[in-house]
Amino acid sequence: MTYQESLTALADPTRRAVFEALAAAPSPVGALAAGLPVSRPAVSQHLKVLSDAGLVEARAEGTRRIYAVRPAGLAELRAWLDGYWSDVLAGLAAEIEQGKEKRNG
Amino acid sequence: MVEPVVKTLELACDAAHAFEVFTTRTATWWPLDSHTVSAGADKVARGVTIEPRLGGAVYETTHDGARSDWGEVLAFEPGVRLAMSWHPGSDPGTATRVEVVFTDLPGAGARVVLTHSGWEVWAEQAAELRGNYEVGWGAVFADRYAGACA
Repeated sequence: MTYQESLTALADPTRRAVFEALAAAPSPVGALAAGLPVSRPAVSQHLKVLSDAGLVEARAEGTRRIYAVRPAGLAELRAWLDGYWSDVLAGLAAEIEQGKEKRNG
Repeated sequence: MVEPVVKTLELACDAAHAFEVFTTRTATWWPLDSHTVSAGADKVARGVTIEPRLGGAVYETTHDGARSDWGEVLAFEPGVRLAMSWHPGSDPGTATRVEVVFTDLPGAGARVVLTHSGWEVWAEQAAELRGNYEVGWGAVFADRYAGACA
């Protein structure tokens, strides 16, 4: 999951509504769009972003694609956030350590 | 579900110094090539700035000199606490919250605790509708000790 994928997946309120609708029940695109104040192409685009971020997945059912929440997705997103802040704080620690060495040396 | 991320760090300097480095020298330690909006475009950001006051802007100076807003300072207590709304790459309406608390340790050194929250409200709704997710925390703490204090 890239930085942008993780953040943009969560950032849009309509996208969240799509995610919550799928959490209630797996659904094809048309049914999702019918229940939301957005167009079908917009819903498809939101599903693509959610899918790229690992939050939803699709299965084929005959000629239809049924989308559903991917259960591991939120756990993976949280793990990504966890690692993100580990990296940021490691940078802070390194900077403070280097500052100490300069003052001691 | 996306519960708040909590990271704890112990440093050999005092809380006031840690707060100062965090807020006034952000660009000297933030990973500009990997944890920025610029990095999302495979570029290196020029800087990260936290304006040192309540209501101050938090922003990235991108690889081409433009400004990318990340959030706003919600609490600014020197040597004690920094809190920010957090929305890098998106708009303020979808911000989460990052809070950093600085505490002197008995004797010497300081503890820094960072909490990133705000995702959990909508994620919990989804989890309740869907059932519980199994989540292993496996949190990784950045846990460094520097040499002797200056």
